[in-house]
Amino acid sequence: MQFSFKNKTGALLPFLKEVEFYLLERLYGNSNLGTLLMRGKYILIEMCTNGIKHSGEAYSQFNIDIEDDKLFISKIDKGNPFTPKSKNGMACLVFPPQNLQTYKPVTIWEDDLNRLAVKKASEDTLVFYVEDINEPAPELASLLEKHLGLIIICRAADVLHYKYEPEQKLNIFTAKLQVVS
Amino acid sequence: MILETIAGNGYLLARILIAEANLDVAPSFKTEMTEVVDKGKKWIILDFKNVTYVDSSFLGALVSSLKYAIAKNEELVLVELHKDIHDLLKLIRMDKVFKIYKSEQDALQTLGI
Repeated sequence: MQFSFKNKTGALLPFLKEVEFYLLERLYGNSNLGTLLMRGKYILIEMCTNGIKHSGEAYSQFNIDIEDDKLFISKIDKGNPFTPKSKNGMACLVFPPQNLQTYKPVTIWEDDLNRLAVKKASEDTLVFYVEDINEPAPELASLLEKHLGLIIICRAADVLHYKYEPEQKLNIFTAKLQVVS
Repeated sequence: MILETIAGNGYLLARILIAEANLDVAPSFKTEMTEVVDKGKKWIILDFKNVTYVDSSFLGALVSSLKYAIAKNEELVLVELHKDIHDLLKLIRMDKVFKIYKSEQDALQTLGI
């Protein structure tokens, strides 16, 4: 199912309600409904916020589907490829990911709670993920200074993929959530 | 105006007045929170009752406010979080850096204010 989001904050709540209505219909009776709606809502908020901040287009396009017990939330917009830098700024992932020699993960951000990393998932796709850092007394000074939106999406989704289609200049972020019924 | 403040006995209640806590209001929230911290009360109770969702920009401003409060030897606690917002804070592990209570009364009793 395709949805369009007008890249304005005022459009966010109506958009969330529209998607929630669709998901309620599709997931009615699901034992995990509340969690899926909450996680889906925060994935959408951050994807929309990214569109408001960074997209040069008036609208961001979304594909939201449920297939094989999985909920897919994809945001598609036009622009230059996303090129995340490593935490120390020295290394940079350049699209297409064939430039990555290995499937070894690159840390983009790390503080006392979260490590955000990216690795090559296939010849044209990156996968982002977050790991726990378990410092007993988290140092507040460096906490969550960067990439908080990406961290939220990674935490809310089971998997977050990023794909760039150079011919059409399409950025495609896809969050995947397991639907437990 | 993002915040309404009410002085209590030994604390300051700051109630967020807006429902959508997003990137549009995050800079003003941060400025107003700085003014709240500068009032010099040991305890600041931040009431989220009116807030229906938060985004990463607003959470960034919230973390900045906590850092500023700690630098001033003050304590910032959160109350009246909607379930979705509380679940989000747990999801991204911010429940490990913020003190979170069900209500103003719950915070006052637990903290012995």
